[in-house]
Amino acid sequence: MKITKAILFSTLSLMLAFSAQAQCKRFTKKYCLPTLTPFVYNGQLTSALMAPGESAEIMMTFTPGHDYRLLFCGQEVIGEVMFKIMDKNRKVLYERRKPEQKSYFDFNVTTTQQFIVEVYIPNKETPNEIVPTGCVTLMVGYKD
Amino acid sequence: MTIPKSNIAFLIFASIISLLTACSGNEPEQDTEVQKTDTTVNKEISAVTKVRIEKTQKIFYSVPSPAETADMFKKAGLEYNKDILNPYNNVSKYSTQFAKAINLGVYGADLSYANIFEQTQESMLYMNCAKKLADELGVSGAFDAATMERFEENVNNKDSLLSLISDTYWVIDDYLKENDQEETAALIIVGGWIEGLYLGTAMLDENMDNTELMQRIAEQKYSFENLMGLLNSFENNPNIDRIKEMMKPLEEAFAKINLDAGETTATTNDEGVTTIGSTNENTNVTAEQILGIKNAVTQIRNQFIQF
Repeated sequence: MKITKAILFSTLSLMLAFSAQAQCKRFTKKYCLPTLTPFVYNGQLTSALMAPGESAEIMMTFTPGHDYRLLFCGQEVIGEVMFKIMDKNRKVLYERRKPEQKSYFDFNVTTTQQFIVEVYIPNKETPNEIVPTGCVTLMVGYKD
Repeated sequence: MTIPKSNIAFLIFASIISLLTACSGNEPEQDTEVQKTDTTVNKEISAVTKVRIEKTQKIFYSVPSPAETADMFKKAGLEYNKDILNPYNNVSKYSTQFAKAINLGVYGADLSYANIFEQTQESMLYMNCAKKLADELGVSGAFDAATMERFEENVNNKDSLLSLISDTYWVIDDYLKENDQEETAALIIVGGWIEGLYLGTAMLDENMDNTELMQRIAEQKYSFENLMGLLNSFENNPNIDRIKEMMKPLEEAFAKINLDAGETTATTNDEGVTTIGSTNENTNVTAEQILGIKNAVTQIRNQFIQF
């Protein structure tokens, strides 16, 4: 019976992971993409399922000649998505620490810059044993 | 411990529903409240992921798209030359998944380059090359009839076409990742990035005097580091290892570039736009160093289009 339970458990995990990926795409298309306007989406999407207390780092390069928007989106279930923009030496250039702050960062660069973007979901109290996870997306838009 | 029959039935039902959703590929956009559905699904995921959540940090790598690279080089003074593009009749030569993925990236960069320079005829030709390879890779949804129609309608509108190219890129990348083909997605990125750098350097010779263009090429060292980070995130993958081996001359060429930019500076204007610069923006790049990059990237690119 334990084996049966383990198989069912693993199968369900796998199936739901695939399902979540598809849901993540729909969520991004419906809730994140419109917020990128008037910037042109650069076609590169970074998304992951995250839980409160988790963080991710994205190594990114930006070139002169454009204005950029880095847009962060997260599903309500996990709470607000916070982020830090750091240079390659981890000097913080911008940080979103409070929900009142914008969930995007508009900028341009005078020389090609390498950024470390840290995305994190603050810990949150849950009334039961269930740990919420949700889709977190980072989109890059640019314009002349 | 036993599982109640009703729970087993639920698990099987949930698995079937999940499988159906996952296999649907380009499922039609639903008007229902997606976020609500997501919340329900998230709760299910949470119940099963509670035990596997580790406090490890996920790391991703991102490089500029070929369109951004072409636009940057154009602004730095690069001129258009259709003779340096991968000949479109090469498209029928690519028979392996590996060659198709790499050259889908290459043709995607050629398409972006032609579009940035508003070359209508080449844009259409290279769009068809990209469509053929995407179809053969099984991503037929990327260039469906509606998309092709929009391409034709907007072929003279650079910005609309750029937006369409980006949307298509997303569809391909997303499809591959959803179908557990991360390697193919990475190969497309590598092909596109190498072609972008090749197009930026192909016409340079020892008499080059455009210091801005030289600077922009040298700065691609940063993108290269991210590209290698992406490749290094794959373990024991023969195709990726093969690409990493091919990258060695370029790694050596970039190693000769010293990008000591000094301190990073950031100032924000009244509109909330931050300008990020460096205290030292001149890196004294020499023609010899740029030719080293050009030769290395040309060698790699020519291998790519011969696969």
